[in-house]
Amino acid sequence: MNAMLQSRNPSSGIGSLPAGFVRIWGIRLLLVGVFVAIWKLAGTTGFLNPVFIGTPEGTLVAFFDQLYGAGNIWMDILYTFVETVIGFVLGSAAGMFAGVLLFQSPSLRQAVAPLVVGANSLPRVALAPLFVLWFGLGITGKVALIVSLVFFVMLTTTLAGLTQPNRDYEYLGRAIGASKRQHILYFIVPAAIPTIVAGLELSLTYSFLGAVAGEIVGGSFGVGVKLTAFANAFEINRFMALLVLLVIISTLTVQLMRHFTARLTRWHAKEQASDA
Amino acid sequence: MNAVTAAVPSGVASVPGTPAVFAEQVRLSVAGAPDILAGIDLTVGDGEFIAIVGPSGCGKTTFLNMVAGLQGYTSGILQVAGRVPKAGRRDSAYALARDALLPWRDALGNVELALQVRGVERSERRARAAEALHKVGLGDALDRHPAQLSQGMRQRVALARTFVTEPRLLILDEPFAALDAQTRIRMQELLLDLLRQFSGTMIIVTHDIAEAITLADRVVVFSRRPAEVTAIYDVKLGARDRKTTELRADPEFGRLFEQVWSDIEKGFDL
Repeated sequence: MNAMLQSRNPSSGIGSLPAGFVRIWGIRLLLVGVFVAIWKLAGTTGFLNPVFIGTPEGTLVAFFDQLYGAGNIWMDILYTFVETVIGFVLGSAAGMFAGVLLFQSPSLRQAVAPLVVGANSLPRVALAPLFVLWFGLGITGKVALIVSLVFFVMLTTTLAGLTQPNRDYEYLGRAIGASKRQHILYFIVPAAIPTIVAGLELSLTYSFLGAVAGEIVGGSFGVGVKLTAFANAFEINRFMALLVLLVIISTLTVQLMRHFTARLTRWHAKEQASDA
Repeated sequence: MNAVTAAVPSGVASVPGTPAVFAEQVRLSVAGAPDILAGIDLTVGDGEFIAIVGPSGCGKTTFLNMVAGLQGYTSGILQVAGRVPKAGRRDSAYALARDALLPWRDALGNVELALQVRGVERSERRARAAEALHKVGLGDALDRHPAQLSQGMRQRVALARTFVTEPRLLILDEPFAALDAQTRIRMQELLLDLLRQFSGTMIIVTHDIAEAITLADRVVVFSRRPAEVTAIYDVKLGARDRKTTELRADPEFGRLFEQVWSDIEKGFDL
């Protein structure tokens, strides 16, 4: 495997970095640089008012201030992070369980299919005020909002993964005399895993969204509460700095999950690489 | 037909005189459409190698699936080793046209699957799977996943998977159809090699007449739908002991090829 990959991607000469690594990171940094430059220019030329868009250097100062300075927001970050993780775990566990349940009972599946579509098409953020009313300003309401988002994502991806038809596997399984249990264990579940993992990744992003949106609608702590306060006080640099931090945290969390799920889907990545 | 000298694996000795496969007027009809099988008559002796050829879509794969117990039939008598066909028989192995390898298992994992399903203990099944892969020339690719294997190698893995359970009845459905001409001939060569150590029965469906003549003791020609057996040819080329290239140079090979070809053509002109 390694030999094959290396012969196709000769190393770029910088240590053992794969070819293209430097170029890809160059393009990435260039894009960020262009964005920052436009942001800066829009403010200095008076095209946009810095009172509303902040400034790159002000954001940079605010970024470190929020980490180490007087206005540090670790408690709020922690609060939002805990909501996100609890909501993600509960919502995805319940969603996967429901997906497996519907997979095992085709009649139940048919019965609830239109209901799932209906519930899934409801913009769940609209429920946030209701959850504030029911659960107050604490963690519970945010967790409920996240669960309402993640549950349906995991239900649909789990079900889609488990029910993808493959006649060859069905024939093969019957020909080698696999029992129903073995068929599920050796054919259906492994085939479903890449789809389910993709669903989990989407759900994690949705969980951050749900937590922050819930806090914006009504909460006593958290990133969303801070964002609302900063916007209301025209502290745009601090607003921007917190957004950047949020992006970093959610990206790292998704990467962390990828690190753990990569083993499960490595074959799938290989498969797609060989198709390309 | 040449005498087969290899020992019969213990525990699966068949009743003497019972044909491996016996079909009498096996029909398959579907409501509101012409019959698929008009009535197949075919007796395959124990230890015999049979190839079924016919126009594409004639129902030869359908018949094979019936023998494998994967598909029902409307009427007639069909017996495998004296019994009604049943999917998952331990003494038979079925290879699909597409290799149907599981992409999440490496070569070894794919080959050991059938043994795993039978509850063979892990170390034993892995040893047997490794040995089967050695026999098809993939001893150094045990841990490769299907995505890392060429079409030909994938088909070798599929062959190893077919042989690993030491079946008495091999059921092969166009196993080399997806391969290029050169690889296909090499795979036929490999299959012939494996068959030399195999004392059971083989039924192979193919659209490749040369492949049929190379591999089989008898070539069975199906008509187009609704299918019936239009001709059966004995192949007296001693294929079991000769190289494929040598076989192809034999004038008898060409004569037989012509004959089967014209039979299949007739099927189209009906």
